[in-house]
Amino acid sequence: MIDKIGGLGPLRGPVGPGLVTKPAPVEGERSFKEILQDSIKSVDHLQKEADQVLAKYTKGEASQDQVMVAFKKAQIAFEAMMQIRNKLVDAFEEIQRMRI
Amino acid sequence: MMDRIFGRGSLPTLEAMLSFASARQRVIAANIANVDTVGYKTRDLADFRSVVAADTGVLKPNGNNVDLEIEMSKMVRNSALHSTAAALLAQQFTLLREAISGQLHS
Amino acid sequence: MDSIEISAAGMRAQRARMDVIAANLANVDTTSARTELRDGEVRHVPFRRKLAVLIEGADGLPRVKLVEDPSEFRVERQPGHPHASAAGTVLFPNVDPMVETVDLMAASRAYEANVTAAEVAKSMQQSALRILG
Repeated sequence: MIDKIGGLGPLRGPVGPGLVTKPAPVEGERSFKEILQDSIKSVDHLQKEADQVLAKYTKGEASQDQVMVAFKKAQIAFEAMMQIRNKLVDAFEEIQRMRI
Repeated sequence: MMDRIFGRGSLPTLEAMLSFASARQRVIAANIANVDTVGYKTRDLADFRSVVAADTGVLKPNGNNVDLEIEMSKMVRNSALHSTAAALLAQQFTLLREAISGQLHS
Repeated sequence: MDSIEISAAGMRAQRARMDVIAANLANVDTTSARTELRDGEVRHVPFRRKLAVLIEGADGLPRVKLVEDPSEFRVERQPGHPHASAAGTVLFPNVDPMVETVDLMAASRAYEANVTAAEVAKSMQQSALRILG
């Protein structure tokens, strides 16, 4: 997944108004939008898991390292999502510039 | 999505080592707390989950078989295992974050 | 229950044991802990040695049970003693300072082992904090 963040790949489909609202998916791979949605789901899942582990920890049912690991994973997932979002925004802005 | 990334390489093993070391510390602490308890038998972790009775070669008149020396040395080794797993895990997380951000973190 | 709480229970049990031993030692010469009427005569009953027996609780932690040592009091002939019987004998507590001292050293060593275990658990928590980065 990380290697896909790097480049946008060749654009396919018609250049026009349609492209601004819905970028065409790169052939053979998922669209950035799908990757971002997947990432958001991942972040939500990991944050919920972290909350659950914390609740268990306060009851003495989970160890402190489990809490640390759960929260760190949630943080990394969030950072990954932000990176994908930023790349998507950059792609949109680049397309905007091309139109002009 | 992230489970593929977190399921790779040494990450799952390091997490398992960390859990094991924590669980074992609790068992050792219980053995030490019960060093003079009548009839108490030393316990240990056979694998990542099961607590089993351990042989110590010591048996006191009150039925207790806890050997303080053995428990203390187990504790030291286990603590080192824990520190190592924690440090390596922290480093692996740092590498992941660096890969994601494309920048080096100090 | 985490490792530190377990070690705390161990420390409490050994502390209770040390308190009992200290009381035994403090009363090694207490020839009259109470009086009783026997065969028409007021007799002085000396301090009786106590033991702290550790038994396993339902939570796997040591529990302290206070028990009296049933062994015989030491008898000495001292007619002039304020607590002597009509026959001139004095009963002394069934406390042997040597035995108490050895027990005290064992309890102290066990107490320190629990302290070390708590310190190790604490340092493990400290090192786990590093995971957060």
